[in-house]
Amino acid sequence: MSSAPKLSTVPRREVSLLVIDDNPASVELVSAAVAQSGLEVLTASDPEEGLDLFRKWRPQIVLTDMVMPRLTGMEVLERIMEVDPATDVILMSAHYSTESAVEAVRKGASDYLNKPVSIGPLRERIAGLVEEVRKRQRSLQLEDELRTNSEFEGIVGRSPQMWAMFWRIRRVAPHYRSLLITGETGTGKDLVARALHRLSPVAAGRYVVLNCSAVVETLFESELFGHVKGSFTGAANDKPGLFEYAHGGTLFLDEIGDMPLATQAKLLRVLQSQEVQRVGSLTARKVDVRVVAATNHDLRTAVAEKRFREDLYYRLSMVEVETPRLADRKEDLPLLQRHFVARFAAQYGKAIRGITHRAQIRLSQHSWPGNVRELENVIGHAAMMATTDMVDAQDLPRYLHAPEHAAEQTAAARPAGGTLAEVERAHIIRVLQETGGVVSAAAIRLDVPRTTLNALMRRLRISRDDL
Amino acid sequence: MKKVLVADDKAAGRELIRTVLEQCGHSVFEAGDGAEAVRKAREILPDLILLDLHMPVLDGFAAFQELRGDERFAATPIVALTASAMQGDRELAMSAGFTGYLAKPISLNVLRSEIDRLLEQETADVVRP
Repeated sequence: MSSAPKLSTVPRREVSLLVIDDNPASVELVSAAVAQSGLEVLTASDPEEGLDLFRKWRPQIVLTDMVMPRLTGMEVLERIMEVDPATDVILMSAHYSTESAVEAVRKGASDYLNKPVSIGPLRERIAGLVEEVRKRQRSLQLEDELRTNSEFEGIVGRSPQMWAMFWRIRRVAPHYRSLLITGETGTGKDLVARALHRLSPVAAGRYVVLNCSAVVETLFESELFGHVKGSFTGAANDKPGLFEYAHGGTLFLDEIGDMPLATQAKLLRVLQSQEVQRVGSLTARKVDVRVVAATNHDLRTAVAEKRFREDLYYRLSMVEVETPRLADRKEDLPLLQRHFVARFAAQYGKAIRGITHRAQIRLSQHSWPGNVRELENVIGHAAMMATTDMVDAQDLPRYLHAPEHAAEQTAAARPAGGTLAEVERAHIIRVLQETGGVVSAAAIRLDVPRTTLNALMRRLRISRDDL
Repeated sequence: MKKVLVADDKAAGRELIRTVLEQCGHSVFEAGDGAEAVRKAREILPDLILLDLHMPVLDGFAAFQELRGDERFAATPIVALTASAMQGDRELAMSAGFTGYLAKPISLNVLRSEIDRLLEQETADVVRP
């Protein structure tokens, strides 16, 4: 990941307020209420004129009457929400009804007042909103500053867990020969591996990646150690393996838990002797390679079940770096959100400023089983869907619209039935929705290897469009 | 996410509170009268209860007494919903021991901030057995 893209920062400005009311007495009352506050006040006696002023000056607070010629206050609210859903809109009506208050809240109003409005409470109400707007401005600015100070080699975070991890990476990077990164899927193990390489003395050397779950078992050894011509069917030429290719650099073995046992034995020998032997060759070649392995499985269990060699496990885990789950560092959410919003805004060429409070609440309530990768997918989706310069709740993927417990309730209430394939398909789609489309996280939840889940998805014709 | 129980005999009133509180990320349960409120409270053990004072079957005051008599709700914030037209309701509610009151028609902003304040206090001060 490259360094953080620059945010198109919003110019700092004073708080301004717009009053729209066809009754001059009402406009005067509001102006009088805020006279002492140092607020910039804009007034309009006509809704269309008010909307023009809004588009031009973008006040953070709008007070509008409900009943006006040509456009109702509800319509004014709708138009404003289309332009900037972060605006605080207060509706005022002489004909208060709870039903219309519900409609106003649904459409994004922050308050609904009963006319006649008396000056004292109105002053208090506005003062409260202004304080909130100022707080939001301050925190946006702070987040911006923090964001630039909260990156370590492309990894974003400032929670204690992340600081501890950064510290550990800095400490071990100059010295390790082999190292194990553990952590759930989507927690950024690949970024940690890259950081270790960049901070190591061999940073100028090659950084070579092999995903062990993507290699056909029979080709594993040839891939890692190379082969000589004729050593097996199809070996038409001499070929160096990744160890030789990474000589003088770093070899990153992702998903090491998926490496076959026979290959594990040979890997251990290479780590011990610093020598590789191409398949079919009798001579050994010296290699100088740092090995970083990563896994999202509990290797100790794999050792107990004889699926992973104990001696290799101890060799690798002498130095271990653990990547924290997103659920354990939710204080990093705002920072990560800003990071991804900035990135996707740049990627899609959209001027997106941030995420509305409503949407942030939804994000903070999710349990993030797919970790940062899931968040990245979610923000990418939302940034694509956003129609204004703020990401709002309805831009988020559908599975985040309702609180999680509600989703569980509907799932439990769903009647059983259908063919096995239908039930399987529906279940896989639901789990994928819950993991934000992160297949490896879904595979863990479903307790099947990722390759199996991929095959199932192909067979049941599950694609991104189903999520 | 906190559980909030709203008791009001008017569906529109419950709907308004539900809409606002769900936007703030809380889960809202509803009751149409005081007796239902007491029954639901025992079932879901809400973090906060809003009681309209004038309800059929069991009014807000009676429901309040019933709930406070149950030790599980001894420390739960219980807020009265009072009609501002009914002079004196507010005083009655406070002297009966309600944690607070919200005057109808409810100001949405006051509702949001009052609920946040009470729920925060609840997590900070009350240790549940």
